[in-house]
Amino acid sequence: MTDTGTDDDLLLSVDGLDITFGRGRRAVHAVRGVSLRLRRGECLAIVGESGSGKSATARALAGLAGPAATVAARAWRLLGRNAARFTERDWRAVRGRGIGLVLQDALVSLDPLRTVGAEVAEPLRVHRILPRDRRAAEVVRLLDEAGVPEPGERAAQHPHELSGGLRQRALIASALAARPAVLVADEPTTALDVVVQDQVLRLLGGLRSDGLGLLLISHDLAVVARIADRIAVMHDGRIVEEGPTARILDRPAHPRTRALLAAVPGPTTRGRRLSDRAPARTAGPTPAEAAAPPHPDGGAAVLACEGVTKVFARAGHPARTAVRDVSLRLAAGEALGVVGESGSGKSTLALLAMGLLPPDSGTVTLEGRPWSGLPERARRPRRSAVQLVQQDPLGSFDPRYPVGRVLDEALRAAGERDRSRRRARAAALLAQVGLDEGHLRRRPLELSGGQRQRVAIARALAPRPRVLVCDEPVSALDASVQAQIIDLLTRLRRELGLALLFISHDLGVVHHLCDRVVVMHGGAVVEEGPVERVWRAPAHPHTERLLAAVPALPPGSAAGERPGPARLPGAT
Amino acid sequence: MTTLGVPEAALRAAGPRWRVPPAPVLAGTVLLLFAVVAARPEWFAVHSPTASDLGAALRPPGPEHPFGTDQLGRDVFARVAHGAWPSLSIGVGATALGVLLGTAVGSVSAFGGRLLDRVMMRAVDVGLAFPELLLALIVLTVLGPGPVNVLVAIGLAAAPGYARLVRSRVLVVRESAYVQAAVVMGIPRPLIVLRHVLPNTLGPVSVLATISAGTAIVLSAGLSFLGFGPQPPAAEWGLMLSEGRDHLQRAWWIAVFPGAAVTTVVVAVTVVGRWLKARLDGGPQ
Repeated sequence: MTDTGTDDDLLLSVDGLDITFGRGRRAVHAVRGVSLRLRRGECLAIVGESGSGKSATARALAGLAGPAATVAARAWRLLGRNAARFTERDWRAVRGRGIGLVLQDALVSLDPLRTVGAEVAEPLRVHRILPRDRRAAEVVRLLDEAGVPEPGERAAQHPHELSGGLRQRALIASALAARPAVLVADEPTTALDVVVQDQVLRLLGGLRSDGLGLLLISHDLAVVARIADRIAVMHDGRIVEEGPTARILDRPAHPRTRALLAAVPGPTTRGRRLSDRAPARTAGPTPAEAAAPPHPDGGAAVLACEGVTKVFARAGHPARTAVRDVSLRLAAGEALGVVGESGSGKSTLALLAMGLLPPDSGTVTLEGRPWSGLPERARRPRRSAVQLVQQDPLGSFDPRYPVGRVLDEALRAAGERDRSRRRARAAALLAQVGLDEGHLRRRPLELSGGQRQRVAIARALAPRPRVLVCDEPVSALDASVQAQIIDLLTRLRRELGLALLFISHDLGVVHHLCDRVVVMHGGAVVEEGPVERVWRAPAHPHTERLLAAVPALPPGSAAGERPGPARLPGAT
Repeated sequence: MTTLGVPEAALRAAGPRWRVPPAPVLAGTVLLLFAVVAARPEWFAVHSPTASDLGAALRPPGPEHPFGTDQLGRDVFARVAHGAWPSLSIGVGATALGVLLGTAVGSVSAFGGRLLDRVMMRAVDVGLAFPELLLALIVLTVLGPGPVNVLVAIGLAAAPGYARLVRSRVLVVRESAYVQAAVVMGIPRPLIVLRHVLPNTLGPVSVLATISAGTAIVLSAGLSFLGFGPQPPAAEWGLMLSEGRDHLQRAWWIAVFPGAAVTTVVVAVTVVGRWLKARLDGGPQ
């Protein structure tokens, strides 16, 4: 521990924190011997993959480990008091006023039946900070401070009326209402698109100037790199490395840190592997090989949209144009990225391209033949040509089906009648996505997020499609798992000559994976071009905004000049 | 992907819990026992359920007649055992009928056009507006008494609830990502409904059916008590309660044992149903 500054500045310190879930033989030792220090006006980031114990640590530090957890520490001080001795009553008194907590999913964290204003006012009421008649004004001030536009009107609204970013800000406003000295933020931006994420991070970073101690939990090193003063990397319940942000980024000492750094797609990573744990059967491509994808210009368009428009009209609501006059062409073997904030119409575009929604005007053609405007019966035999990978893989599997049955159904639908051949192909498909035959009997619920997405990709490959439409396939995944899936898609594209329509809010990921990019805003295409050109010289102000918001490591960090995959030290 | 409080890794390591708590096990055993009694009452009862012996009337429970005898000298234990089949089959059969009708109405409503949906759901609303007992009584007034008519009446009275549940489930499942995935695979619509929509709809329906089978059994006993079900001298729990009512002062055993049988079955059914519901709603608890 490097102790600088006086003891008065020390808001939170814990030594040898141990957290166990369950008892007896079922017990899971989630956190082992974690020691942390947080000072006034400082931001400490805990970074690690899911399951590394970072969230358990964050909750325990706010006294919210839950009834199933056993929490122990050698020494534990919060705001000068011995927190190891805190009773539930003590915690209630200190929570909100001494230490605030912001969780990942603001929609679940806010009471759907209460207005945002009531939510923000609650700490003021519970801790008797302000008399009733002065609370309303304070709520508006807090929402305003948290960057909520029109705070007076928003305070009267319910959580479902607010966008994800506004909800997260309202949650931050309520966590800050009682002026806590410490704020614990557990993945506060993971559910948000990059632009909103950027705004929330700025907001959190700005709070430090008032002396707030910020404990930021994230799976993504690039996200925390912007605002953290120090970074602690967690793996398997332990802190494997801790230090000032610049040092961690420049000279990562631990293999886990290096792997996390390598997982961030950046300006120099195009054509390189991001993950160090790609399946063994695929040797990594040499950078030169991967940097030269099948060239798109030669091929004819496999999928094309011509002036496609989709309007959603509901009785009693103003009609909303989700997609406005969009034209795009996907050549055989090409990877086309579609980028935009949430609500920009990209997912609707995916449904239109898949023939799952009829356009109100314009046409979609597949392999040069009409695709939209057909009855489903006519589309069905050609469905094998274009397949979909959805954002939430778990939801895309029938909850009763094990993996084997999921693949079997896809293969049968693809016309494979022989049962033993289907079995063999299912195993081959799993191998292709880096899973083994043992996974056939597993249920999707028992798999990790990355494994589920691999199964979803395997299923999409079953009918040997020419086009894969990926709708935010990695945005629900950890940075390191995201890297593996991106590498997998890159490899499959090369091996199978697949054309990709890759939809994402993250321009960094698109830049890594795609040849061309289409930028959407408000349902319309605002910019289109080769990804390198758009990345270097964005023409539309909206593209610039997206670009500025991409979480990136500062230039000159270890990742900036990271070694190619051949030289990547054997991590793990 | 962390569930509140417990990291995903911890949940995975803990694995699925197949251990069934003792209460549902006990309740399940009780139900199994009653099922055997209903199927083969002669294995348990030595006496005939209908042979009267006026010389041995109104005997209290004892070694010869464990549950005593009624006003006609019939063995109450034999009558409870032989009454299990008519009493339980009406309740279970009525539930099955209700589920069947409700599923049909609910899925037609969900899949048929908007107009059909509106019409059917308003009809269902009318059905739901009446208490089940009242609805069953109306049906019985039209159909006349008899065990089969009681079954039909209770089934019809229960159907609107299932129709509502099935419709709302179908609407959810139909919009699910896995149904979308099946469309993308090119699976024909009827097959998707058969393979994905209905199975995933019927899970919660079967749980509701288990819980409300208890209600149906009580309802059928109640209607028999009122004289709509099997007619004397048949052995049926509701009928026995009705007959024993007049002798409650002198011979409590005539009414109490069939009453206890109804109560035991219904409590056991409810315990099992609640446990199924908790499992379906997720979480090991």
